[in-house]
Amino acid sequence: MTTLHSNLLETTTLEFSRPSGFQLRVDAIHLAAGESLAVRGVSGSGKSTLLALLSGELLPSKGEVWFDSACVSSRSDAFRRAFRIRNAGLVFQDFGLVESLSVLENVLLPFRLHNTLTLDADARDRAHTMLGAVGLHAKSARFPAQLSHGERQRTAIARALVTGARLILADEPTGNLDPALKHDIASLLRDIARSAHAALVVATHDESIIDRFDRALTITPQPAPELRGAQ
Amino acid sequence: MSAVLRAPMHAFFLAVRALRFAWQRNLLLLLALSFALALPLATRATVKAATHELDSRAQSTPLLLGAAQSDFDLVFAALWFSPMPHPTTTGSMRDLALVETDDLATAIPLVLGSTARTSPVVGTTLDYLAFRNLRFAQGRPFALVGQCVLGSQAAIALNLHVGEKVFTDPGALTDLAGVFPIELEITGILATTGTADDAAIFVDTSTAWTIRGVGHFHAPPTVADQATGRVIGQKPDGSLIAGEALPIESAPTTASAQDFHFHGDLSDAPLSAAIVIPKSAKAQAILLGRFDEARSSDLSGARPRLLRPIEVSDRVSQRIFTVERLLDAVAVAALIGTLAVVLLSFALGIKLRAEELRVMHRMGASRARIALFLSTEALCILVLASAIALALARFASQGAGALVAWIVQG
Repeated sequence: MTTLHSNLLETTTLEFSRPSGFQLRVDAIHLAAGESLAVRGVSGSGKSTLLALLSGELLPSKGEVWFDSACVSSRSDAFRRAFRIRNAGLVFQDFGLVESLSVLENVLLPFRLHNTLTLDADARDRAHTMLGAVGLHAKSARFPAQLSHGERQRTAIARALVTGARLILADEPTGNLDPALKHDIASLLRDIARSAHAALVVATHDESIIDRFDRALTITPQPAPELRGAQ
Repeated sequence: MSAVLRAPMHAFFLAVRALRFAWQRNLLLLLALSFALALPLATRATVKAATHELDSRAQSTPLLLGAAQSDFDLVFAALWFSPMPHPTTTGSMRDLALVETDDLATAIPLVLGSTARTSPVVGTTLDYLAFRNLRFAQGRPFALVGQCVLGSQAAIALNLHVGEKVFTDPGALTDLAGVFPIELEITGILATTGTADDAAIFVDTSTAWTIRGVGHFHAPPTVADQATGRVIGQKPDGSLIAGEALPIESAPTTASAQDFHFHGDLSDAPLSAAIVIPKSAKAQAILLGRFDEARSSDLSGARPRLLRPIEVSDRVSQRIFTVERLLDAVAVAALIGTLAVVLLSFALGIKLRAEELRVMHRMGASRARIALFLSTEALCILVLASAIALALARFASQGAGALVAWIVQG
């Protein structure tokens, strides 16, 4: 890679394939701190796979993923897990909240998952700050089952940012929300990413929220190898 | 918190939260596992305590003399005061002479078979209290006919105190020549010993024989009683001959106690058993040899037997151990079945939370860390279940006395 890594997140052209025949090819991505990118495509096109490649959960068969001048895709599994917990805030379509934990405990969950983070008074202060930022401070003692869908997703966003993550990866964050809430959540994600100087990548097939983000990238399904050969 | 402790502490926190969240399911798992673990533990603890109680009582009694046909009947009756199923086979005071000849041993007589408000009445001498090291919590030993001393449990169960009185139970109502109730005066209450003595009422052998109708009290007759038929004649020495009309009293009065008497030869008075205390090991061997030889040469089976209670107790313990092994096998089968159900339920619980666990992994938790979370949950249940099982087993072992009572009472 020959860039100067002036961007927070950079990739070369990424390729990934599965034994089942699934193929993904994504052109290079460059995202600066505070920038947001919407990744759109139909179901099964590989949006979630791209997010997994960017977070280091999966490794590309070709190409590299760089974050803050460090090549993530060439490092060990342990390094990539530590990278995810410290730098990548993940937001899921079905929220991914732990039902047995309260809102505050869910937000603090990353601190219990890896030894690189310490659950101390600063972490708790930060969790309260993040809950305030998403408007859930008054409901910090409630459990996920006692929240609306929008509140659950806002809890998940607070959890993604509590570690000071500078890469926010949101997989269909509005997929389970009412139309009225979709735009609120999309705008909240973008605004929080900007204020936290984080790079935001949102995978969505919802065209109505694309314009909330700085840029958009479209992924098209890749034909299986045998079909390509036939063409 | 040090880095080494951080992971287990977080795992414990998450485990407690997860257990609390599904508390109904986890409570059921906990109870099922607790009882499955408690069953073999309780069996072992109870059997151990029961056999210890059997052995210690038997161990403290060197030899037993008695005419009961069964070794078990004799030992159970003499050591735990269980009802003797063959009362007609009791011996007599004459048997005591057999062990006390040649100064080989001393014997403490036991006259059993009577009860007072269902508590066993034990006729014996004060030597018994000394032999069993029975101390008084209140009062003093019995001194006169018609007096008694209560074991601590008997006093509590009957709600009786020193100075009060208790009637002995009548025999069969249809047996007019049988046991008549007499009133016993309580002179003392014994300290708790944790043995069968706690449940008994101790009286002098004379009192025991009176209960059985061998001796009796009545007011001293006078010549004037001839008019009422209470006196039917006078002997040349001036003593009066009492008639059937002379009433027998149920309790000694100052006057009647002076005229307390037995009819017939006291050496023929009934004897249920006797604790024999040999002077030495050699004396014990000689006595056992004598009695074995005498019984083997007497085909009538009327000769009293002399036996070592510990040998009988060992045989009882062996039977208990056999039952324990059977119970162990059942308990292990139940435990395996319960464990299978618990594991299945736990696995289903994890499957229901698969998405949560997948999210944790995607966020950066290693598989080892997630395994730690789940194993901590399982460990919490196991530790709690073990603690409950131990408590249950401990509680059950306190029922060892009841088990012994059940064994000796048949």
